Amino acid sequence: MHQEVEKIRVNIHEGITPEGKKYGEQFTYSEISEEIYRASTKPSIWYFLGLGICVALVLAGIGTFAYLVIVGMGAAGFTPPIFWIHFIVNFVFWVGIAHSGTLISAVLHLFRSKWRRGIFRVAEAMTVFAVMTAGLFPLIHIGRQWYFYFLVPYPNQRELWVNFKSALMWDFVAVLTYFTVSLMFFYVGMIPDLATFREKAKGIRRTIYSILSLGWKGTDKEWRHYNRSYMFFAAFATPLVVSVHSVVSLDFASGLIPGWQSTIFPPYFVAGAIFSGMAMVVTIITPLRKLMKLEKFVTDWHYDHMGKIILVTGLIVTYSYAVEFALAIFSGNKYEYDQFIYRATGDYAWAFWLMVFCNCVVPLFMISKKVRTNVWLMFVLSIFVNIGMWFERFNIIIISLSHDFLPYAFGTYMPRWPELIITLASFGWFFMWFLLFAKFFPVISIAETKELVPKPLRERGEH
Amino acid sequence: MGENGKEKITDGVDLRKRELFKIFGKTSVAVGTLALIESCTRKPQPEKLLPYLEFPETVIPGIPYWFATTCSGCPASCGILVKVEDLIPRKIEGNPDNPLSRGKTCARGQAIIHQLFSPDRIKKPRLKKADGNFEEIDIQSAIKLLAERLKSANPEKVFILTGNITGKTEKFYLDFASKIGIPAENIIRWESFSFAPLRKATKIVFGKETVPVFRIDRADLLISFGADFLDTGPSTVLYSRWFAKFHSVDEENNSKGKFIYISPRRNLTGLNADRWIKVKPGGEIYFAISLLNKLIEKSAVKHKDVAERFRTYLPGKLEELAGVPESYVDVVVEEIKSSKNPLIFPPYFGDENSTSLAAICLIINYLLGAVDKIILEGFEYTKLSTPKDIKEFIDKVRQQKVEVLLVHAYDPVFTLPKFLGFEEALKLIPFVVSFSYHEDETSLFAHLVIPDYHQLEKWGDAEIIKGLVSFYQPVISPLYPDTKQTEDVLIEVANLVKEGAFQVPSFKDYIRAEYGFSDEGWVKALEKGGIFSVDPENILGSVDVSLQPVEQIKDAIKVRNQAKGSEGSVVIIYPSYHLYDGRMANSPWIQEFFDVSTRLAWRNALEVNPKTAEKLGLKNADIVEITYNGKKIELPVITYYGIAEEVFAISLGRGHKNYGRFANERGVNPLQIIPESFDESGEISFVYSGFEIRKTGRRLKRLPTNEGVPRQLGREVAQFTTLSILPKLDAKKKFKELEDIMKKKFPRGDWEKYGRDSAKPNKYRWKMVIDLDKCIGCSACMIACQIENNIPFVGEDQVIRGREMTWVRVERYFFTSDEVLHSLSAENHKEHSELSKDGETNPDKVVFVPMMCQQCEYAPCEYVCPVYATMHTSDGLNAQVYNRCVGTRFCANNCPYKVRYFNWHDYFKNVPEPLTMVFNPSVTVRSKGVMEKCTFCIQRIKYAEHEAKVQGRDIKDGEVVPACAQVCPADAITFGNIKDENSAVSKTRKSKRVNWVLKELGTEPSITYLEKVFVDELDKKFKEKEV
Repeated sequence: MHQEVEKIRVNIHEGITPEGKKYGEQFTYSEISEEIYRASTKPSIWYFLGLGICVALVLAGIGTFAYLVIVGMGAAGFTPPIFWIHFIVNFVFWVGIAHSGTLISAVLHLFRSKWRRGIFRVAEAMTVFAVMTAGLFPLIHIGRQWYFYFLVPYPNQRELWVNFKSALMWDFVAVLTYFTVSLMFFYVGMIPDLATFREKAKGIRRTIYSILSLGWKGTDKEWRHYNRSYMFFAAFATPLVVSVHSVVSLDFASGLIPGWQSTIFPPYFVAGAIFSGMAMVVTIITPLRKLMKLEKFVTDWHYDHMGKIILVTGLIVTYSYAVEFALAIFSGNKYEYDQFIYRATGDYAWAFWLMVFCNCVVPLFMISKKVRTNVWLMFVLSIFVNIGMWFERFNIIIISLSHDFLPYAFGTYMPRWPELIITLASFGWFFMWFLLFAKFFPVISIAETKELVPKPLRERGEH
Repeated sequence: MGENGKEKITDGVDLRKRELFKIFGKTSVAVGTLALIESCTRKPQPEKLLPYLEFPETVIPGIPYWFATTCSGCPASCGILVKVEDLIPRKIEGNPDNPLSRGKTCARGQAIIHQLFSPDRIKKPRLKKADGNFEEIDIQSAIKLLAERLKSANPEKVFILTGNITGKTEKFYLDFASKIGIPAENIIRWESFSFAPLRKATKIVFGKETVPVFRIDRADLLISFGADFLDTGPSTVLYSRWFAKFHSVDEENNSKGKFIYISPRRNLTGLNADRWIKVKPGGEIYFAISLLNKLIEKSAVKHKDVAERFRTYLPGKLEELAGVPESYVDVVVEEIKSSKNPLIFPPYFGDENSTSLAAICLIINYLLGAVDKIILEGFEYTKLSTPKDIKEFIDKVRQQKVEVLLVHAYDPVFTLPKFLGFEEALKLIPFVVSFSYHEDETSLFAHLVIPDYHQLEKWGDAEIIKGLVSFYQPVISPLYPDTKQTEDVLIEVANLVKEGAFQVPSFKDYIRAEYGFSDEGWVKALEKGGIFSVDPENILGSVDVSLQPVEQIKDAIKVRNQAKGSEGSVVIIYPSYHLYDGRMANSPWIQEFFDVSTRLAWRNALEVNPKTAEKLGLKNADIVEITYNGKKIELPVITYYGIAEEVFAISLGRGHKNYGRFANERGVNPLQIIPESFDESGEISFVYSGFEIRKTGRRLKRLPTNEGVPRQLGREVAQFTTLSILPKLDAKKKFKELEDIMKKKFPRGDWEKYGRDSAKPNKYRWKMVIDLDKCIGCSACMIACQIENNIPFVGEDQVIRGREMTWVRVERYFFTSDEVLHSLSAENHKEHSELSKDGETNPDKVVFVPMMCQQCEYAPCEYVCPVYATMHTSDGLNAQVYNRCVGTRFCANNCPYKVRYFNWHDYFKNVPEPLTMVFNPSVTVRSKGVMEKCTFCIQRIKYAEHEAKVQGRDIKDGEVVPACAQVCPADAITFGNIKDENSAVSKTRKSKRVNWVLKELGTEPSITYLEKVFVDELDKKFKEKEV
């Protein structure tokens, strides 16, 4: 009996491969280095095809943006009273995506979770690129893009200062902080691996890796400093997991609009962000491990854990939706009440129910371990979650705006091609960076995976 | 500037501001009316033009001059003042001295300035060549050509088609005719709305053909049988002012004029009714007969002996004939009995029985003793021809009795119903001359086009009521040198035909000589804008006006049984408030004006009651085909509460084929398919049956409207109360309620101190009060604001996307009488319960809410702007700094009143030259990417501040008037400094009807609305009778 329980515990914490080995036991040090380095060389035709599509989308996006600047924002489908559309939807979506990276690397690192090791590099890269994507949207969105620097608080000859009462300023600060910390974290964590790559690479690549690895030699002293600093960054980044999306949610919560002004927004947004971020990790890592033949590094065990996080955060999100409705219905606020009835039954009911299906129903399948460990099923479900989370922001922004206070001024949104192209281009932009990253950097942490391999001087299986 | 410049001017399209300055340059315009007059009358000599680098010393940039002239937006001829800044007319305001306008205008009057600068004016005379194409000629040869033609023609066969001409202008045309031998009856005067049925009815009843002035301001009960005196009556501005006086509540005496409107459809006038009696089309006359009979029966009349003889047989049950229960008549009779000053407003036009209906209304008025409110020395529309007269003229054409036709009326090809065949007739006339100032359909059929001046470049006079003379004087030198005032052309032509026919060199001198002015007197009269020896406000109708013999009247009243709706659908056509007969359609701002009933811009639609639409499976924006006798038009559907079930309506004034780029192919003209049908007076019928309405299966993506949901959905936007609750209201309590909301928001209760005066104390704090009970919803404020503040039009495709830039929009909310009665019967009248869903009922109570920036003291837009582009000023304004704005649009999202407008494109680039001239030089033209909104006309505030500072005093109350308050014909808007205890705005804010829109949000708006007062007793009476 005791053994049974012990076995399950071990299964959960250590990850048992089909051959009955603990995750990491099957590798040798050189195998890890070789396999991961191999993944970053010799791209296949599919890689170039994917990169080509991404670059094409980015170019289309740049063209569309230029068009918007020249003819004015009116070229996009803004339909007052809906003054914010896909650009802000995408902004919030991408900031949300950026969330799981820090969570996995910082919070789970502090909790000493072993399963994060297979995926955290991907998640961190995703974070950095998602913030890079999100950061573009405020610039695309504003009416006079050529004056974007008005939004930057720096001493200037205009003798003007920004308004720190505005949630948009908080946003600016929060996202910038998050980006800086995430980038540092990402980079610092990669230094030992870059050094490994330096050893393997030749020619110009070697030079670049040499520079990037900052002369890492792998001495004890370096490792000690490295681990300390990594721990420090993890501790520093942890509050950011909560803060950045809380602040983003204040963009809405500090407004007056029914459906926006709600104190539940910060926790609800954070849960939603982790939910969508984790789903995005699944979405990215599934084709990646296939393409780069990294199946042995990212196993069912990882999927099982990611599925659990998606399930839990999905339930939190569902709960938040329920609370939102309950507050709207029982608070006695006419506008809130109308707003939520409108969401569920009005012009955009399809978007609302699509969101409910994707975010509340789909994750429930992950209760089953069979589902969680079925890689391709997880991939499909994660795409549903991504769609659902995109529509959650669509619901919050567009539906709330179309049905606010004055009935006479109600309106419905009519989309137009520029915002759709730019939305697609943002995916192109994000995946472009990701694909480039995957070819030049270690997508799985070599150093941390090696830590799981039984120490060579000991007998295998012993602690 | 030489040849080159001349070409540019005549080219027209290419006309640059610079060139125009050059034109002004050579005309030495100086201060004072006379100097300007002289310069304007001089003919421009382009070859001597020099670049205008500096203005003459007397023209100071930023200091406007005001010139009095007359409006041409409709034949009512209101007096206007034109603001001329930097030598260019920029804005129109009513002439305060003129008894008709009293400083106000309607929406049309604001927009005539756009016509002056229309890019599609005819810039040079045209002669039709043998191949049918036009060739441009110069003005002198055109005049010679016309003179030769007239010389050779038989004067008996020369006809002149003019608009409504009055005063000495009328005399001039008669003079001209007699001097070259044209018989006086060859002058045909055509206006689309000639009010012929009413004229005929006054002739029948009182023996005098006139359009009487109804003193509605003296009535306490007004019953209108479909008379739209606020829309397109003989003087919209006068009636709007009187209506507001009559209909607004007297808080002290707790009384208010009651207005009952009997018609199958409500236009602006009908929407203002306290009770709309929704009769079947054609049922009005039976209602009137029934009313007459019942009044006599219940001996509610004065002249009993005569009255008995007017009893008329009603051919059937009223319920079947008019579609309303007979008990409604009882209620109306009771109301009449209990009121001191009842007045029945007869229709101006309507169905085939409208003359008879008008006559019955006049008889009722006579019997009630209401004739003291009917001035029979009324509006001078008396000599206008009717469509039937035009038909006779066309017969003459067919009999080749017409050799030359001079057309100086607004586009008769467009305004005349197609069945008359005017277009074909024009082709038969050997020589047609058009004097249109603007491209129009008639000029296409003309053999010679001699472009007239626009009204603002002209001399002239108008005497719309005897003794009330308003002068036209030019406010700018003529824009195009090859145009000429028609009257001047006629003088030259007459002199050529017959030497010495006219002794005076120009029409201006003719007018002056006719009135016998001295130099000084002439200048004074021009400064004043006219000779106002009569003020309709000071005259009354004669009580002892004699009736025509009863039998004669009875014989003249014929009731034709129209059997409406027996086969096919019933379609009502109605004149549109803002387009009038279509003449305003060349102003893009008027095109973008949201129709007072359909709320559509840029096009018209088929109005359907929501219930009927549901029954027929029609939805908004579905395109339907309307057929009559094989002729068809296509229109989108719009549902509208203000129309009876089973009836359809289409507005007039749209569907131009050649009226400039803004008017062409905008909507549809129903006059193209209507069948021949005349009323007794010769006016066409406005109600037709037998139309076939068929769905085409196509639909528009969306209609260009600014209306979202026309119901309040239980929110506190359109605030109202009722007459029975009003005495229970207490001004102090009401104000405390508002204060408490703010105190709750600031727990220490220091809301009044917070933020205000803290940074920089100011002696002014600007506030506005809008009286919803006075507002008639005409939206003149909207267009006045657009012109004052350089708000561009955006075009139909943008309006469809909801991107219109109306800083003021007049929101319209419908309520059912049940909602009004139930929601207010409770002690707590806050709960406006929505008793039924849209479409299931027919809400018939209307509240208009002019919605502009509320200049909130705690503005939700201010704290969300990351760059301080919107911020509070020390005098209480919510200022918008365009230069600082980067366009995050958070402010617009966060504005609960949705009054912020974003420049999605460079809209001002849509405005073609020379239309850009109307832009107000004191206001920035905004570029794309910035947010804008109502500023309380900050440029006017600053102007007054500077004036006051220069003179070392404070701004006086009433010195600063925003454009919306200035134009409002109902005087619903009061503006002023709240820190001045004696200012008008401080006083009106002490009303017990004070309220804020969405007050519970705690924004403390600077605009206080005074609640609309519904006459609930009237509704109760009708409700009792229904049961």
